[in-house]
Amino acid sequence: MTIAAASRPDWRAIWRQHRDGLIAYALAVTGNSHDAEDILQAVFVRLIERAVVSDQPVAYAFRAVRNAAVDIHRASERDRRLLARATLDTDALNAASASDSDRTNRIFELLDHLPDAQREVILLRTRSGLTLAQIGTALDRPEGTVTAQYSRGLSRLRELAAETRVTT
Amino acid sequence: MTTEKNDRTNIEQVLMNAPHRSFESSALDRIDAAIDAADAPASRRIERHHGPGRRIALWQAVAASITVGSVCWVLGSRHSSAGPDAAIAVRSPIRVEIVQDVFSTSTRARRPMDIRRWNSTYPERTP
Repeated sequence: MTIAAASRPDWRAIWRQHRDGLIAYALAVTGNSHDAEDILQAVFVRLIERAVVSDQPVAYAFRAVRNAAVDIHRASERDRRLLARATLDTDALNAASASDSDRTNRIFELLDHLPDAQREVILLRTRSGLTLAQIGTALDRPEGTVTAQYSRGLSRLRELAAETRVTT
Repeated sequence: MTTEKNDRTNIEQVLMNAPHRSFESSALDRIDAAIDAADAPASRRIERHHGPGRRIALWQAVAASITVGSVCWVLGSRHSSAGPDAAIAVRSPIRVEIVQDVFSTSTRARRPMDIRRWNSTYPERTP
């Protein structure tokens, strides 16, 4: 088996390319913009300062954000619950049509009823734009597991939407 | 089966297309600046290891309206131990000259300013 040599990524380019997705994830894991800002800045400064080497830098950066959030909430682990709604621009949503706004709000509420593992995968895929392979690496789960969690999560959301009569 | 697939696709689309919250543009600028300076040559970096350097560091950080995280970074401290001065300074609409004043009257730049002294000196700045 050949093991590819790890390379030194251009972390600034990764920040620029994945900024929106990283912000969404940081907001979801911290629940507030102050901590999210601090975490993202600290993570990327550290990655550059230490010239961290990685073959999968995008997934690595997301994992570093996750670990930094765990550090912040270590004293109160039960608060570290992914908040899907923290990624929503509520002003823009309120400006949308009432039906679109209601449907979006309801689906984000339903996300809270999913198990954490499924919700995290769905957030990383739909709000941060990661591939399932990248999510697997970021969360240290096999890709097959992540794929199944994504599929089950969407199916469960569909069931919940039907039960609560949310028009999809 | 097709209906189920369509429903799932629709849910995915709602989640993907829902408007994304971002940071204030000033916060993005600060983060970009900190990231850009992360591996700058020593002459351009904020001094972190000496007393006067720390004073200048905080002054520079506040002048640039940098976040709490980066002030902790320049102070070489963890978030929780950076002291109330750093936290207040960067989260309040404080001006450079006030921080300069605070640190020029401080015997040791690194010593966190006593919150009571802050309150009595700058009552209008107390969060």
